[in-house]
Amino acid sequence: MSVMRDRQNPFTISTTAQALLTLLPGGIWMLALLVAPLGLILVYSFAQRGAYGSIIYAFTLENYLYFMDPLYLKILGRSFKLSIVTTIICLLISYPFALWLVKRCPRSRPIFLLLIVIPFWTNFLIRTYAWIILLRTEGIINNALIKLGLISQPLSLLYNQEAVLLGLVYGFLPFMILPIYASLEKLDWRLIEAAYDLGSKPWQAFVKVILPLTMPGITAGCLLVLVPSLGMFIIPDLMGGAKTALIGNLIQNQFMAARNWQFGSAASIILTVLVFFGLAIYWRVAKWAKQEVL
Amino acid sequence: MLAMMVELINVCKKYGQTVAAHNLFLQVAEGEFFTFLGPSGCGKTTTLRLIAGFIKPDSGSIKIDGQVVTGLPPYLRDVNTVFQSYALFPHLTIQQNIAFGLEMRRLPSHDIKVRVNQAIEMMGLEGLEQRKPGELSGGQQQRVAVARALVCRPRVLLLDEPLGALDVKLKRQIQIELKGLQRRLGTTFIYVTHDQEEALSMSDRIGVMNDGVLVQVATPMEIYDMPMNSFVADFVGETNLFPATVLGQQGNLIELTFLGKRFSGISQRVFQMGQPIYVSVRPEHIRLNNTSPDRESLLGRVQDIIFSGSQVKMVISVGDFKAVAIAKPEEALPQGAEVFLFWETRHGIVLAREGSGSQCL
Repeated sequence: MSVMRDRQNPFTISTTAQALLTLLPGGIWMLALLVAPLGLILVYSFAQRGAYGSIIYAFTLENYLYFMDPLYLKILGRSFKLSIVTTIICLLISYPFALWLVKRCPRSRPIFLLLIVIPFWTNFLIRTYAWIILLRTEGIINNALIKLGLISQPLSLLYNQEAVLLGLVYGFLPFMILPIYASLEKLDWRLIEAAYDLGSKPWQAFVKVILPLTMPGITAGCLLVLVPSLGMFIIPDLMGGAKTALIGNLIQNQFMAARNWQFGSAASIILTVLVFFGLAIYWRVAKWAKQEVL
Repeated sequence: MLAMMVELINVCKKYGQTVAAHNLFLQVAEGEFFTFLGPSGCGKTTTLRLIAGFIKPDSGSIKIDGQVVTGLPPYLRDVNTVFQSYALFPHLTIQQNIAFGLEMRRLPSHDIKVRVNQAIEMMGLEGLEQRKPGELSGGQQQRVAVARALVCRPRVLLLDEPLGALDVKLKRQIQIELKGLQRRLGTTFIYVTHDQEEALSMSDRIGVMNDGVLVQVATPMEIYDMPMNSFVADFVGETNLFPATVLGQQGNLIELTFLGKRFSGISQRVFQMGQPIYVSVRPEHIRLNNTSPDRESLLGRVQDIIFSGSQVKMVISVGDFKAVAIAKPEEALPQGAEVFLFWETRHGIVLAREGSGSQCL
């Protein structure tokens, strides 16, 4: 780091150095917790496997080729499908809710926001187990329905794809609500009046003014739900049973049970690259769409 | 008589305990430039929003071009608004902003193009078509707001303090432009402002509002020369309100006394002998004499002199009362000089001393 000495004050640091200094803690954080592990995973993914899962540092593409098995591709496809559906459901619930929330009086809004955030104070695992208690065959919902005489046999609410979807939507809903709420709260409602004044019916004002102006919130929310739900393994593991393995479970299994770190790393890298490409395409399309409008 | 374009019939609007519009009756003719003038919080913007349809009246009805629109939402009314904040769509270009209203009406795209280009030319916005509102100056944004509203060819254009955010010079310039535009297009303009100079210079008629009440509706000249009450006299232009007492009345002519001196003034109304009143005399109508004139006059002392270019304003203390007079710079008296004040009968407007609210309608 270059420390420039000023004539008046020998402790003055140049602005470039100041900028670098401020970036230092964040930089170390990113380096130690993101770049280094990712580099390690990248190296493992090209390494060969020893007899008992030990890592032999010799280049091979075997791990990637192994992934091309229809079984794994199917898991990958299912994971993408499930996270996209999760994202869409979250969006469909969150947008009307955020719209409703933003219309509340300013004093009651923080209370509702608090209600959204409170579940985060409980461990995610515990909240997932709470869902199991609710949904299982002898669970609260089934027992209540039987007591009320609405059903005679317990419904199978757990250990299927729908249960996983429910768990994912529940877990990620706040990540969709909060950014959308933030963008709606910033919205200048006089613009909606202007749209009405210029002849827009309410739905036209929504499509032409509210939606485009809250697009940053929608995008942020979708990314915050889509990306982590792709790699999620706790919910499918606990609520989905064996039949609904997702890419997250696959990777976790390779590292923990199968002791095949090389293959697990390759699967991780494939997932990361796919997400990265997905985002790149999204930004391209968004940029193109923006220019097209002009 | 021209057709009535906008009619308010006994319109009331309350916000909790605050009365924003109190039994409003008003008729605005086709092609008229009508201005609501009043201090902030007097209900003028509320009235405009009632006409635009953003809020519904508690009672009474509103007609636009002969049709009752009281229950209609804004998008079904043939009026457009120029907002105080301009409310331009930040995600759209200037061209798209101006085209917005026409697109909502689903006009053929060729017509939209032609009309948008006309509007851009009319408001002098050439070259800014592809910019976003955030990249424009306040004056340019103001022009876009006017273009966006006028391109829809509304029957009535509503303007809510459209020049409030501009500097004085630009304000004067756009005032002249707006007035010219209104005359050329023949569109009915309903304008809201708290700037009395703006109201006087632009309007065909002015409605002075206070506490949700339309205090006086008249031409700018009538408002200035024949204010209905002390509120109007004080709010529109500067005036001296001498607290006097009625001695007698003969038709329009009223004899009165102030600080023991006899003066006279005029009014259309009937006053009782001994009734406390105000005489409103504009500063430019206060006559000053160095020596005692051969009529009843007030002896005062020049307390302050305020020079403002073409004229000099003098604050003259007469007993406890502070009178304001205007003179040419070369006729100004020195500070501390003794001076005799009086006014011509026709310049003393006699006004009742009660509050402004109870005597309208």
